[in-house]
Amino acid sequence: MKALPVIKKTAVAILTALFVSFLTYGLLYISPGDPAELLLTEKMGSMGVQKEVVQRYAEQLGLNKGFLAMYKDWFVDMLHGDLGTSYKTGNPVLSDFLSRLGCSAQLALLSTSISLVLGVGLGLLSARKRNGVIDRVTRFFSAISLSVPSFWLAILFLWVFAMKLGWFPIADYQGIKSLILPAVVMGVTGCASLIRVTRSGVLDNLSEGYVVTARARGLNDRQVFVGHILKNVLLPVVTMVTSNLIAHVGGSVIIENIFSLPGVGNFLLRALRSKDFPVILGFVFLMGMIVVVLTTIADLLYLAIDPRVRQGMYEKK
Amino acid sequence: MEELLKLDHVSTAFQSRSGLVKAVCDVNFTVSPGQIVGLVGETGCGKSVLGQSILRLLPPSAVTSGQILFEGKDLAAMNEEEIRAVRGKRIAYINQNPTEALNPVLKIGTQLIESLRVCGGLTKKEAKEHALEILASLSFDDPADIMKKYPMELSGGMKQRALTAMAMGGKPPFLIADEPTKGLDALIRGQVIQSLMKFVELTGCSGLIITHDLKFASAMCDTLALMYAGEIVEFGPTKKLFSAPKHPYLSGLMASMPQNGMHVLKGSSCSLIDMPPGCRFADRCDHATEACRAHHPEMRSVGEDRLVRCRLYD
Amino acid sequence: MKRNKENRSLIIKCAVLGFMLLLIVFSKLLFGKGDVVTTSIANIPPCWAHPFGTDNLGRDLLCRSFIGLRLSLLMAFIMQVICLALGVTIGTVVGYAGGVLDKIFVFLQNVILSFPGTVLTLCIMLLLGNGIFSMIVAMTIFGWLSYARLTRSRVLTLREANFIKGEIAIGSSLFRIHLFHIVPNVIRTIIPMFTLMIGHAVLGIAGLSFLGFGVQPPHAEIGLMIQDGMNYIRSNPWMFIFPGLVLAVYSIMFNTVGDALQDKFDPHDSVSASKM
Repeated sequence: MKALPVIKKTAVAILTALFVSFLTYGLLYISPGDPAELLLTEKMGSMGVQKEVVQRYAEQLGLNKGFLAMYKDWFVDMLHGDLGTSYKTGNPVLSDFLSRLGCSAQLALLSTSISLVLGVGLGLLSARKRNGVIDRVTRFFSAISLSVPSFWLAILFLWVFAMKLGWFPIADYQGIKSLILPAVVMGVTGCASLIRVTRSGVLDNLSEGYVVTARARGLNDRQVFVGHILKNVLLPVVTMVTSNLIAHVGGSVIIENIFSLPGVGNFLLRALRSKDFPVILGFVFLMGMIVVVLTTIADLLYLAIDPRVRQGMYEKK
Repeated sequence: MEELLKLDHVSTAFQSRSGLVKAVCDVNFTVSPGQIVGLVGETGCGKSVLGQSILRLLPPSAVTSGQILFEGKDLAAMNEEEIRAVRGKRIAYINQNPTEALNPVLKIGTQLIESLRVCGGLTKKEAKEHALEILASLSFDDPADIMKKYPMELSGGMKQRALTAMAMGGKPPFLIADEPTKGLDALIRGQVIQSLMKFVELTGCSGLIITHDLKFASAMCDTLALMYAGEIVEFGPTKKLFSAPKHPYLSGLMASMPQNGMHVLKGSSCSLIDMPPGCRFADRCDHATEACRAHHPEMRSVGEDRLVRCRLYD
Repeated sequence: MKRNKENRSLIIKCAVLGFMLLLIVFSKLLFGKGDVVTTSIANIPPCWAHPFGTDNLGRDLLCRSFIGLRLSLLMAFIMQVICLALGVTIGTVVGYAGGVLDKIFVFLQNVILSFPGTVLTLCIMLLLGNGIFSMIVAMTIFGWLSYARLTRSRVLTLREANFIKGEIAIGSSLFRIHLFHIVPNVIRTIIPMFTLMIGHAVLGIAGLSFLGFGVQPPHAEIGLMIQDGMNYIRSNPWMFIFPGLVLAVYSIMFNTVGDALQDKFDPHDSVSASKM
């Protein structure tokens, strides 16, 4: 019984992943510019390349076969871990991705932790004393953090803390030290939704019948809060954290660019600018896979947290 | 007869978007040990608010005045710590709507053990054993299985019984049950009445049963308090009330019962925000006079231990 | 009386936003003079004559910020209207039809949501080329989904609502039910969302232009101006600070009004759509 929803979720995830890969490939297939020509120009330099040469080269690479056949080739290669090589660097795309994943993953984890602590903490505080001073300040803060352009805040922080105060490195990457500032920017701009979800979650639950029952049984405020309300608020919080993480898988493109971090987003941006198609295709596909995995983990977490979700899945059947 | 619970000029009001809602106005009555009082009235008359006022379960926006004496101590004057010692241990409370009254994400066992431990200072193991006993005494077939279930996996009647089990934990001398039969079908209603009877029998408690269901009230309660628009309008022994209703509202209610021909009471209850100066029932009453509309009637004694708020009995 | 107070604060918020929008609409008239290259007054820090300072080419940043915002807002408005029309239509159809169509929609939604938003938008921009038109298209491809999801869930709940069932029971036509019950109900949720989404879209446009993918240099645009300012961050920090500040203030106002509208129309659902 218990395995059924897990299997179902995984099946949906795999199907989504397949479709994501198909769509990505399709997007790039219809993109302007002939990859064979691009490749040759890259190899030979910028001199004009003859049409017949391009055609022969395309045949050699299997680029003239038609969409589905090419997709199949790409897919089979992908299953063997081969996502092609970059036009620019000449490295395999997969190794380029993996070498830059560490930085981005650290950044995503760090910033998500910051928004989690900030968001849930402030959300709980402001819900405890509704319309009190803390609540008003928090609501103001969340309105601002939702509205301020993150890239502008990033430059502002860079200017104040790195350039004026010299607390953080500016351009050269020094590991975690270089990640603190961008993580704070992303954490602060990402916590607004968490504050709202937590606050309204707690407030909605306070008027629920089970809270009255719990109080009527003689539980004190802390017991009611920790033992009863918190677990009910957890579900929307998990949803928000996941969506934050997903946004940060690639949404950190701008931030990584501003802080010149050697992350996935920044590399992808350079590939987009130079139309380095294998890299774009590979990176978007891999990011999509990461998102699918994250979403699936979150779905499975719901199943563990909330019995109602489990029940819902059976009822739908 | 000594009294266990004495309500003395109890009023509760709260601020809403459209104005001050006077949900409970100047309620006085007493409950003696062993007595079960039914608080009867239509939806929105303030009876649930009164029930929650006694244990001070209302949100902070609600203001209660008057004295609520329980075992000689004023619940209204207690601090948070003291009232918490009364909740669950001295006065049990069964919430209306069992579906909402149980925490949806915690197992029945967790919630039951928790309330037993809060009431009795038991260890986890003792509480678990005790919980199994209580569930068995409320005629659950497989108590151990119920403990592992989540509220949504139980039927309405089972949830109600689980709630009852939680209330029984502290062996309280007094029970407040808020609309225990609301929204349940006839079969389950029977089960609920049974489990409440069992509760009273097992704990020997007295109680206040809040309901809109006259039939249920007459089955459970020895005394009835009839509430209309925030006030008690008639009070007395159940049998006498039913055999000879005094207040036109009670007569009207009884006439509207199926076995009495379902003569529906005309009109609707007045707003709890803008009260008429006179009798609150005047607009729906066939016997209303100018005096009824002008002056607010007081409770008056009509015969032995019966009170009614109506000018007809001057 | 509490309600009156809330209404008054909503009216004040809307009035402030309205005034700010008027500033934008007439920005060419009001601020056009400042947006010209005048090298003699280049690199002036904020002062009385130029409250936001001037850039490296002597353009007044106050004037340029408002003119820049005019373009972003116009684009945001156009794309959100398209998103709204598309989203509401698809959401309604899917919500009504249910069955296979609904399953396909949910699946497609999951697929689109599997791409980080910025990355997907950037990819589509790559296909269409840089520029204003392709930015609108690219952001629309992602943006209609929010409206569709909301409309669909509204239609699904409404379809189950008792008063709709009652209408069906007394034989009202589907069209009538839709016109008199569903549309007004959906609009209540869509209007606040539209306001919020305009704010988000303006931020998104600025972000893309900042990266060099959106609006191209001869135009004034906030994201571009901030990008410009970053090149002069050491000598002329005001060049990035003030345009960003103007953008932030407008975005805050859109969010505030959106939230206030949501509280009024839809008090139970006050968690706004998450950021892109």
